[in-house]
Amino acid sequence: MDNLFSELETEAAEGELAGLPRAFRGLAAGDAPPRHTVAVEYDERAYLEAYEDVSISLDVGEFKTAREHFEFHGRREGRLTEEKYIRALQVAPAAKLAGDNAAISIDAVFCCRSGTMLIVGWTDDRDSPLQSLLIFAGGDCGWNTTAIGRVRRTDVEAAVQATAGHLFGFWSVVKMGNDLPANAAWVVRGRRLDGRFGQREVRAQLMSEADLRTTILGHFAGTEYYGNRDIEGFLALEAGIGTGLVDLNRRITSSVVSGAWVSYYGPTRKSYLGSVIVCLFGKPEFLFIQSALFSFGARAQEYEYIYVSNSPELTEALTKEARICSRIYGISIVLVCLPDNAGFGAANNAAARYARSKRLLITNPDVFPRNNDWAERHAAIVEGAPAEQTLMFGSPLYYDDGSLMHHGMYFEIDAGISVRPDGIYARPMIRTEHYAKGAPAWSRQFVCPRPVPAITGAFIASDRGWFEKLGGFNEDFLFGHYEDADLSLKSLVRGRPVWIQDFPLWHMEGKGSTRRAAHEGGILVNRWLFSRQWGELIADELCGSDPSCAALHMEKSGSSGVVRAAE
Amino acid sequence: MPRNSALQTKPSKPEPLRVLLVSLFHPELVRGGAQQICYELFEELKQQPGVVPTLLASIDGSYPNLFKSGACITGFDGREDEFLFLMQDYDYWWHKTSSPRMIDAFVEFLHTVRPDVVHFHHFFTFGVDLLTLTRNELPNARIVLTFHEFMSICAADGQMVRKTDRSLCTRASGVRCHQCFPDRSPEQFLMRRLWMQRHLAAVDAFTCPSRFMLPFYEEWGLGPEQLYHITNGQRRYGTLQPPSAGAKKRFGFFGQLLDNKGVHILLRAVGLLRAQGFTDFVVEINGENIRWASPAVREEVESFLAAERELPPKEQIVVLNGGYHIDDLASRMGRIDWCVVPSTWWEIFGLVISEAWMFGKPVICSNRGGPGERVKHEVDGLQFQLGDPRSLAETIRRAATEEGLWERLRANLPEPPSRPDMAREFLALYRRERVVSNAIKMLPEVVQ
Repeated sequence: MDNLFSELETEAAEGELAGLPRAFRGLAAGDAPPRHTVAVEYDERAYLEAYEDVSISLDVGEFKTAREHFEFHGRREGRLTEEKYIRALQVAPAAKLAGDNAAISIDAVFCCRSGTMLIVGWTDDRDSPLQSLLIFAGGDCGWNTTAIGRVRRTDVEAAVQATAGHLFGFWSVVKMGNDLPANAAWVVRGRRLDGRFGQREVRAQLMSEADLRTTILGHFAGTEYYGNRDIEGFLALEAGIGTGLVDLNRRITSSVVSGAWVSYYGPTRKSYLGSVIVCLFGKPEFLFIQSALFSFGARAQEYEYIYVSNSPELTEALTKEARICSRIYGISIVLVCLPDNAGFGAANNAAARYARSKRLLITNPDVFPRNNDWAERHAAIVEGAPAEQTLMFGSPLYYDDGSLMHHGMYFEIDAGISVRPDGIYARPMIRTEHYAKGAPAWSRQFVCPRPVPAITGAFIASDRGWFEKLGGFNEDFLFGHYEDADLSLKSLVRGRPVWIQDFPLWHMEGKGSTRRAAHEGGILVNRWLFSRQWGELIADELCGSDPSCAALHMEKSGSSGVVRAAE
Repeated sequence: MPRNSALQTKPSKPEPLRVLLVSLFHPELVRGGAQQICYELFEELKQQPGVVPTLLASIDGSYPNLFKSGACITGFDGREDEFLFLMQDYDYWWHKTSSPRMIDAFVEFLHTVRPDVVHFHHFFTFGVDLLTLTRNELPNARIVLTFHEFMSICAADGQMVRKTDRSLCTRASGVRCHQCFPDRSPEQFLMRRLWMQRHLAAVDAFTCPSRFMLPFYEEWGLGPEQLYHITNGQRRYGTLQPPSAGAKKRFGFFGQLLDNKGVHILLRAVGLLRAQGFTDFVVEINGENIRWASPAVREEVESFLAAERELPPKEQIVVLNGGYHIDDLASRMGRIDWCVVPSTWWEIFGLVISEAWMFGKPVICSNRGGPGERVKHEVDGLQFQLGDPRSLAETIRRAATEEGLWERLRANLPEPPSRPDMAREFLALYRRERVVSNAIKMLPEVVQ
């Protein structure tokens, strides 16, 4: 999996977009992750190979082992950071050392205590491309990485009076060791393909993991390229930054979710018809708006309402509102407040753990019932429809103007254009699309129950056991987007496609939360992750609004189909 | 016969009708039509046998010393049946309080008073969600809501005047409201509408002081069977004044000096007449609070009045008398022949019209909204085109010069609606059998 699109490049260059499916074959989940970054640690073989004086010391009996020499002299002398030692470790190209004459500039270095680091800089490597970065954090601690993303730097282009085409900028996300000495001077060394290198002494700015994630994604969202931003961003992620980001996100998510603060309001029932789960971010008012609108109508009090907040700053306001709403509307409310933003998937998973019913109604804060009988209607669907149609289902969503917002999702494959000095390439990206976007409300063909490739996270009604069996939302996804399609496909590959049921809802899309630059970066990472995870299956069976996938058609005819598992 | 037969045979005294009147502000603290009418009703209900009214009036931060530490509801000035709701943490967009303590205090108050009827004279400053709360806490109580403007429908202070061109608005919609509030999306107005309608669904009966309001609310989604017209009644604090001698050329404006009250339209009409060489009339401005007018209108009014003061006394037409109290009305009305109501908005009712009638003054008013409904053109008053100073100028000139016009119109002046009549209608509504209505039409159902 060295190059995400290595196979496609050849075919696309020949203008054969029909070759798209093969492009994803290198992306299938389950492959061993590539090692883009290695720790520069003490290695006896390399130490002896690099330092002839050590061999002599051993020969004359000054030290019994090379390790003894390192502990006595080498650590203090910083021998692990010497270029010849690095070369002996074989993490650098086997080319002749040409000296420190390859200019490199480091604009910023951010790191967190757990050792993830963001490096942003530029280099004029038009004659020999940048191959790796070495980061020395102290005398005996270093890492070498090839996880480098390249970006356009118009300021550099102007300064060096370069013609357009070359990407001077670079950035990297590196996972190093814990508790690095951030107050000490570090060295970042950039190595070229021809063996030359340049280095800069830097001071890392220490920040929390969550802040670092925000900084990284905000930077990523603002990067510029010559070609399609998304596809060029994919290349950076595939170079190794993506896995680094996902690792960082998982650590954050795990920590955030473990710090959940849970409080209960209102009456408690012996059992509930369902658990309405709403993930809040940035806008507390949606707690009381949703409580007001969902609590209206028959049997609405038989549901519980679980609000999970990704905005810790709203905790006090939300506790007040939850108390008020439980009193005014007589509903059971569970408030799960997280100490940071765990993202949509992880927050909903966390909330689901507090559910006290067998049905989960995962709902965006800006989704509201279209009709007052929603509670009865949901119960009737669950009780009346065949079980396989209600394991997991979505609903027709409506814009505020009354037209259909959509009625389920399907997938398309975009050919993103990548512009490189040596040529222009088309590269594939998965795109989610929506059935019936903007269709008139009377478009009956879109609202009748039917299986669809995917449903939106704006509303997912699921059997709780099935949701748990699928492992809930994939928490690799950052903040939000694509985890809903991922969940849908997890259900599909287990032989149970998701359905759309006649359960109309309003959706004030994008109004229920605040979106920042980091979220845009997260969406891009998620698109890459989703393409990587499901690209092959989608290319083979699920591309287009009327995909060939047998399970979808089998379900329509009343029997279950089999889908080749992508996992 | 059982031993307690005496008790059994004694006719039981009927339970009094307990009415809780929820008032936007207390009229003795903050002046305004809604609170004045609510208080009139409160006073009248106290005179009715078998009726026990209680008043709960809100107050904002304009009287900080009335906010007692730790209290959400307090008494008012030693009166046993009047209370103040000390509004806190009020959200002016969603119209709700974010204070759980206020909610708890209101609930406790409801259970203490145990009203049979809760009559909201507005939800503003209390929170529209208190309607739902009241329904849940007192499931058998009758809930009545009197609309004093269109705040449920219109986010622009309920005025239904378009912010884009100050024209009258006839219906709310996502896009139209977004045009008035460009920083808010159409979706936010749908949410606002759903929010409002959800809470108004707790109400048994809605009343409007003018008939023209009913179709607005009906079109917006309220059931026509729940909508009632009950006019605003007042105690009679004025008597017919004798006509002045000679031509009836004294005109008076009474009200706040705000954009919607249209004092600037009146001044523009004066300017037009002066330009035409017609100056044999006077205009007396009675009102205050110019500081709350828009900068443009404030500048226009203040410039006009400053220029007027610079003129020789004989050339002055307009006089600013400043604010007034009800007790001042007799003398202020005594100095005019015509009462001009040049409102540029719907002007829901126009209490000043009733006051003018009390003193025997025909009204010249805009031809829309409450004034347009109440004043019969050429019968008991004159109407002019709303917002049109030329139309008003022509009307003033005619009123000042047409012989016999004033006398003809004055002879037809109606009796201003009385307070007992208003109370009688509300009591009938309170006692009407409660119909559990599902009349609120949330937005049209999805076509199935």
